[in-house]
Amino acid sequence: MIQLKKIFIVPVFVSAVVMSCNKDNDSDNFDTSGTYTQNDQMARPAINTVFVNAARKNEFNTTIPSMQNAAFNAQFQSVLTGFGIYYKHFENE
Amino acid sequence: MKKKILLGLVAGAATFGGIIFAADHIDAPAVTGPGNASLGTDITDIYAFQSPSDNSKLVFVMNTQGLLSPSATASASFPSNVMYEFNIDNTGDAVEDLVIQCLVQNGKLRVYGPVAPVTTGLTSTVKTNGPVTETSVTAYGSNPSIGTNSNGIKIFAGPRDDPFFFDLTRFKEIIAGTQTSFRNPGVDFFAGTNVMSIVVEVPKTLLGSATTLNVWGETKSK
Repeated sequence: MIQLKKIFIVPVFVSAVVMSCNKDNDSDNFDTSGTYTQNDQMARPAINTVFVNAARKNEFNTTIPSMQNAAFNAQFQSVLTGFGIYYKHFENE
Repeated sequence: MKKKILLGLVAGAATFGGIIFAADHIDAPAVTGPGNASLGTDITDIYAFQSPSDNSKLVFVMNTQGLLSPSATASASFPSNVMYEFNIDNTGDAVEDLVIQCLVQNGKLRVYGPVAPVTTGLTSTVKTNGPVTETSVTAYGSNPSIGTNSNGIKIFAGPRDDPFFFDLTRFKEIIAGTQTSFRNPGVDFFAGTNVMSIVVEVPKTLLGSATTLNVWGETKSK
């Protein structure tokens, strides 16, 4: 995930925000029905591209962040371990 | 040192049979592209940052449908069955507490939220009782249509130049063994290609009181 530091918070504004909501907007020709099912997800770049084996790339995109550690920890470690020879290779150039 | 580690990462992708487009372009078979307008679910990059012009706001960007040529861009569109969802965790448990749900129908972008989702996880229904912001999708080559909400939210949807850059051609040559290193300057394989971009600027006050946020982007379809 991408971590952001927020600078400050002004809770006073929340009430104004709630009043500005306009529920009626949804009536004019915007279809908000149905259930949407996940296809792709991303936070930090190149995670799925680099760290996940080809056979599991679809699986990664449909594994929620709170479950990724359990599901992909070993996978990521094996890829990282494999980097060793390449790191050495470029280091020597 | 940092550069060398990155090189190692990229090389590793090929070794392990990965698809070699970096960032998140064409990252998995189920969302493959390029320019897959019929699906339109392939995220190429996601960005979250403080507005450079207003430190009371955060900006969220989700780019999709990578590697659109200029000619393909003119006819590219956002599918009406896809939801572009920014997920925000403000309690540190990697579960979304707020979502920003973006739908495009009949040439218009509508952004719902930030609002607590109906349910967390892999399926979503549209949460319509939070802030709603609307604008027209900006056509290729046109001036941006920026939608605004009285609560300070600003939104945009349309084609943009892909900000991702990488010397993919030379990378492939290195992997094939015909070259031994990147060139300086490199040649950006992604230069001149476009993405379909959705941008949402949100006052920090709408994102809870946490000092740290975890953010990720999802495409979902029905």
